Amino acid sequence: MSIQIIKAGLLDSIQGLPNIGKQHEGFSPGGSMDIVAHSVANALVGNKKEAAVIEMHVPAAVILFKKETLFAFTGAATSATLDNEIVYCNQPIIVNAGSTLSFNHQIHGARIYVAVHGGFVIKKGRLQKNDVLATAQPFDYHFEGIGQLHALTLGWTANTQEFYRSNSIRCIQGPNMNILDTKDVAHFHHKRFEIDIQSNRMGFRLKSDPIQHSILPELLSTAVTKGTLQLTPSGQLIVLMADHQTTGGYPRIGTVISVDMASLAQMPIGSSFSITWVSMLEAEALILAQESNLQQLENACKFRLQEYFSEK
Amino acid sequence: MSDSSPYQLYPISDQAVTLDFGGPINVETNDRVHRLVSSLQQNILTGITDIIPAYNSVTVVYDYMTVYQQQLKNENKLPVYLLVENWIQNNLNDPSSSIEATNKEIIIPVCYDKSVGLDIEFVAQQHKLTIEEVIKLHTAKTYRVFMNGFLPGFAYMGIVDPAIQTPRHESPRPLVTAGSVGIAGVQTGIYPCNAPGGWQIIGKTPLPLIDENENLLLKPGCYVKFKTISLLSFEKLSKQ
Repeated sequence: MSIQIIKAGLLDSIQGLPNIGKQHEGFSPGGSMDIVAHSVANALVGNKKEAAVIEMHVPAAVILFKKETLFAFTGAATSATLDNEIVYCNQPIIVNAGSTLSFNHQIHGARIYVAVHGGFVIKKGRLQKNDVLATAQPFDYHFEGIGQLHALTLGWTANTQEFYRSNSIRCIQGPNMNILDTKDVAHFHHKRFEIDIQSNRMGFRLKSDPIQHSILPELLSTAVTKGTLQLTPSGQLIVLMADHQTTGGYPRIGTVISVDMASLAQMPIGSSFSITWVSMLEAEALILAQESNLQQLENACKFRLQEYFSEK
Repeated sequence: MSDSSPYQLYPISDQAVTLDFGGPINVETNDRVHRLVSSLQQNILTGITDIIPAYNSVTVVYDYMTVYQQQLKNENKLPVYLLVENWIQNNLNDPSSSIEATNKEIIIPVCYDKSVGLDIEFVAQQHKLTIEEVIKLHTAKTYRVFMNGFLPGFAYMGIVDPAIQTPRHESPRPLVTAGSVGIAGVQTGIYPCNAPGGWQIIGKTPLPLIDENENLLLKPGCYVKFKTISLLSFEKLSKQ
């Protein structure tokens, strides 16, 4: 089973979960920007969470399915077309050999994820026109019902609304919060931060009224993480994303909590949000809740797929 | 400096904690950093994904769910970040931890020609020195590798002779080529790959810093000496 990129999009890539254990040598963890969309796409097609998926921006790539398979798309696209038929996000879809998937409309975020049953042999890397991606495991089913149809949608949809928020991003306070002007701290929740055009998988530059601060201290380089809010000398913030450098020397005023990184990853350039401070205890409780919801969704998908396949 | 001197311990994310010894760049503090790293590695806690040493700090990154599930088994009610902080603290005074006395000295050939050392003339002018004097001062010292970071295989080294210490460019160059040797304040370093960067570039080495299996040439604790080579031998070595 394989698929082919027949038209390249803007920065299409294969992504897995973040790499672990190499940051001390300067290797960025990388991985899918929106781990929620990544995990849901894999769950829908019966893959393990760590299976590689395609991450696309807008405009997205056009993809040809060379054989019949099971796939799903999640993230920024509400719908897509398989040849001329409309298909919807967050659903498992059986697709016929020779069908072409394209994303032309109904985009409400920044990144689209496509998972194919069995995952991909390649685990990471940029995609280009004509690239052929083989799946790591074959798809051994044939759906009699599909006949001449392009696609057959299995009858369930994952509800992902609870995983995303749009207006405010929650953060814990960082070690250099004390350099902010106290008046600025008091009014911090009124500030709006707009995602600047100079934003990518390494980090988002945020535009706002300059943050008032005392003279920036000379800091030695130290480790930084995904979500770190770095304050630059001009009083603007940079938030570090999946491909972030492993160390940095800018003051750190806070860090986006893990469960809100998916929401941030889906904010398009030009959109804006406010920052809400939360405690470490709240942040930890939120990870637990999100993980339990994702686990439930994964189990439900697995159960239904098993039911479906055993009936055949 | 004893291992009981003060330090700060704080979360930098909901899945990462930093222990910060504070103070300027020096070998004693950096030795403490690597002693702590070695102790943490020997007494590893399930769920720790990265241990990242820096000049005077150690950052531990963990997978919240794994640590949480582990501590459920131990009937521990502590918030996970406090559990990780306690684990780090308990490793601070581990008498068995030691750092490998590598004393490994690596000679790095560097071409200081203006055509590859784009800022060497600027550095010389800033300090009212000749280019030859800058080269002499940069090659005279033996530098310690304090940490890796910034880019895969990039080594932060020091301490640069005060006579040639120069701050970073105010705005970084969009492209610094692989092998470029730079200065930033008390630090010196080599770009392992093409990248944007703000360091003052004074030369270039033909030596690769990272091999195809992602092994690094320069790791914390080892020592480096730069040796000047001509443009001609730089070009020859680059082709090998």
